Amino acid sequence: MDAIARRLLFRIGTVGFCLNLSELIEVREQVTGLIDYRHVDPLFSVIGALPFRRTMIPVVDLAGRLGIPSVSPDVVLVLSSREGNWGLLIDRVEGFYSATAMNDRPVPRLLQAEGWRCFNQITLHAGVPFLRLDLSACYAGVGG
Amino acid sequence: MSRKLGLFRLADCGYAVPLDRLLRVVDRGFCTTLPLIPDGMAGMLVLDDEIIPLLDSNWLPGVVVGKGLSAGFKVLIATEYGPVALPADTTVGIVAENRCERIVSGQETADFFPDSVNYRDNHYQVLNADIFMLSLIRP
Repeated sequence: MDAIARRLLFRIGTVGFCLNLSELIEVREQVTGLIDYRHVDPLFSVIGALPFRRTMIPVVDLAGRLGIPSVSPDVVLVLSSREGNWGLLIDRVEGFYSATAMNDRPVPRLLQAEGWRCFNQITLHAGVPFLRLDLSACYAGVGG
Repeated sequence: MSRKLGLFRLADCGYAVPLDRLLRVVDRGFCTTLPLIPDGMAGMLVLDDEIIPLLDSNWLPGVVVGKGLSAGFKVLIATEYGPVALPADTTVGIVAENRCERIVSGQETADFFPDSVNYRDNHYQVLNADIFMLSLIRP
């Protein structure tokens, strides 16, 4: 099956998120002991660096950046960007699903806050909402 | 013909919505919060594959924040920005306005509550949805 037609669903706390499988390089589990916490940039919620394929990649704590409580963040999604690979710390992966089983909805005007936003759509899967991540917004500034 | 009002209560306060703006009242649907949403919003209600903004309780003068997601009922009203869900603890019913006693004592607590009525010894503030939406978009 074409990777673009599948999506990854995951959670941070009670909030569900969604991204295209084509944007994902790897899922790394049980990362707590692997992250080097000396590489910190609070401005962009970088909580440390993770060894990945003989390099160190920055790990972004999305929960901290969004101000939502996480439960047990021990999974990193390794993602690609123009500046290189980076990691997104999450609580758990919910699964990989076909995009054809999902409905994409715009974010209603009343739910759009001013300023920085990291999601641009709401995807419904079996009636449950997942926020469609704008990875470029999540990564903005991290590598700079 | 007298207009009709949908009556509901939240946190011991009574509220009324003109029937031409009242879409439906639900006690189901998936409610969840969202990060980085404007003040006054509790999150969203997913109903029949539609995403409906859910207001928190603090848009009501004197009502504490945080009852938006937990309220047992959601009152859906029509606005120019699409349907909006208001939290409600209980629903009272739909009554003709001429069966209510109009209150002119100036007890209204916000611009979007221009009128108040008394129905069966309970006070209900009548919501003007247009002014209400303006207050949300341009607080």
